[in-house]
Amino acid sequence: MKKVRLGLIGMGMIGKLHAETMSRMKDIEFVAASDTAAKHQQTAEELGTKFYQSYEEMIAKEKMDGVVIAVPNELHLPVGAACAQKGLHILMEKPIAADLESADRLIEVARLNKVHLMVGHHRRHNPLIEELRNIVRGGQIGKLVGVTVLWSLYKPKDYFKAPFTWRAEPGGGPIRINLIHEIDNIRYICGDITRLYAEVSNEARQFPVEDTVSISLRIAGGAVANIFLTDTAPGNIGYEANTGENLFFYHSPVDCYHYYGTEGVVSFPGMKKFFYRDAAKAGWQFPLCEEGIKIDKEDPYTRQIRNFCGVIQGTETPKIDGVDARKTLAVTLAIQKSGETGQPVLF
Amino acid sequence: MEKVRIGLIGLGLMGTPHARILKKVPECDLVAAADVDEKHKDFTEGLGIKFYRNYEEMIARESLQGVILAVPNHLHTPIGIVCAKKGLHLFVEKPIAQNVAEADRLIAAASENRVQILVGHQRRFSSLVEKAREIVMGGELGRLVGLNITWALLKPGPYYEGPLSWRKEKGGGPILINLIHEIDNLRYICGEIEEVYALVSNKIRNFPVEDTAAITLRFSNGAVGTVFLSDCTPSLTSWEGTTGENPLLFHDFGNCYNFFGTEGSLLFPQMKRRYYADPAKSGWNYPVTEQGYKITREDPYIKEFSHFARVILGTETPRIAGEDGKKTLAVTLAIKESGETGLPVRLS
Repeated sequence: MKKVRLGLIGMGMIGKLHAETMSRMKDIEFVAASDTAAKHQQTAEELGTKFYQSYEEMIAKEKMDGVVIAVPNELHLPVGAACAQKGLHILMEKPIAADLESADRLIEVARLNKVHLMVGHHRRHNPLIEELRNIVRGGQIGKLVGVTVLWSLYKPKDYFKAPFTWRAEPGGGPIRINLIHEIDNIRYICGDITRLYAEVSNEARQFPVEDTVSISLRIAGGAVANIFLTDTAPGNIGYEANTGENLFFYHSPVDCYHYYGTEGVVSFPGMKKFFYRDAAKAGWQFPLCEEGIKIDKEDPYTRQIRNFCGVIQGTETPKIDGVDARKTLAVTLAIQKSGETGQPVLF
Repeated sequence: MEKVRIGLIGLGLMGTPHARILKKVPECDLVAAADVDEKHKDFTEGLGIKFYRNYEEMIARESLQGVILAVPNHLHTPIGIVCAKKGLHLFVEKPIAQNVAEADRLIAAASENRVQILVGHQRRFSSLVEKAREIVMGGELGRLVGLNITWALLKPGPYYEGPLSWRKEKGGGPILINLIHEIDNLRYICGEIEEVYALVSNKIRNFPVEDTAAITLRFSNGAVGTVFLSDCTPSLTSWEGTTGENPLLFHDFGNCYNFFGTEGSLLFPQMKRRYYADPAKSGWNYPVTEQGYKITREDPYIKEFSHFARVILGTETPRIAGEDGKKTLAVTLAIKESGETGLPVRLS
């Protein structure tokens, strides 16, 4: 089969990660990368790909099948629309767009131009998450009762310093940046969220943006979930720290999720299943069995690009398309809204 | 040592073990016990305690200083008032009463008759809870930003069967029976709760009573928290499944609470504090240091009854007095109300 030809737009923190990933993959053609900052030229050349300062020039000159877009959120729609109009398939970094209206317009422009729109919720490509989904959806823990998610990672002071002072402003905080991943995980593993309520606080850092959030969710099918999230407490508990998926984060091997079912419980990312072996000896006075779940680790970013290529070639469907990613964004924004209004939000 | 003379009213699930424990408390002289059911006579006399079928006869005849009320919740207030009028200090099993109005009546009667109320939230006497309170309130975690509690376990089938089938009905479930302990722990360790929200479900057991709840809390000090509660899942992530304080239940050595502050977090009951040792190396890209605490475990019930004796003697004030016990009840009832209305409830 002909190699898929890909380009990259945006070479910031996450864009660079995509560039490194694509440059390592032998079965694709990483044609070119672009960024408005000329300083990224060197990186592009080191990774063996052409560099453009103008993405428009890149998509006009280069013959490509698809692009990975990793630009600031408010540019997702204009850049995505320009690429769609050129007939390029899109892997858009999360969130799909800065707001729901932009997401709708992007979905529409992709549809009109008959290109695939896939969204970079890369965790869906992590084999740990896939296995957790199979366990929950496959009924291996019986009927799902509830879920708990903990995310307590301390953002260092530098994280908020220039040029990143926007991270202390509304919209730049852990709900939009970090929590969206947790929401997408729950949606992917369990299903849609039907009702939620959030207590949102900025009292620890006293920044305009939130630092701590407590959430109750109801999931289609009846299960309920709690998420506790803070970016201001030393804990090293949270997906990034616990999975070891991105070693920028100090790897602390504790559990951050528990999925509770009627027949079993799974802890994540320890991937242990707890259950009573004998139905006659099931209950709080009896010892519980513990069983490990074997998983072959694989880099989710590589698998994500591979899925994108399969989508372009027509052999695979996207793990998360525009419509699905819009729902994740809608739930995330609703959490912010619930925190502001003090009222639950229903879907 | 001066011993205080105690009577016990009610010899059910709580009263029976209380009788055994009271015999071991050096400050207490358990003189007599009362229960409407004659079947408890042999047990009581076997412990060398006088038995009465009528508690009013007991408090009239015996020269008592205090009583322990371990009767059904709806009787806490009427029996408590009768005893208070006799000038007897009250140890009231949790919850203080079946609702806030009845708690108020009981508190008023105690105050008029100048007797103390101690509410039986025995976990406040757990060495683990005492230490957690010292760590959180003492500022060892910096400013408390939030917490997460899990109470997930499987109540076995027979728990809900036969004479105990009232537990299937509204009010007999994990919110009023079990969650109230978690709420009291939180209030004691972290401070007052001012707003609650709960998503409550009975979809697993399909009983009238709830089986699962996902709760959100806001504290007066600005901290927020989540409490996940379920009695229908095979889990040891609960107070019972981790602390070993209930000898009838199986426990492992995991954690059921996490407290998060600006300077550190605390895993409970492993009692591990996680923090960054070097301020220049603080952040998600650095390792956390883990520190343990040495704790001497003591039986919380013995400590609780010793404390009751000292309350009667006037040398200590109640660790959980009537008003305090009423607040724990009010928060728990607010959670139930939120589950029913689907709306957050603010506590006055």
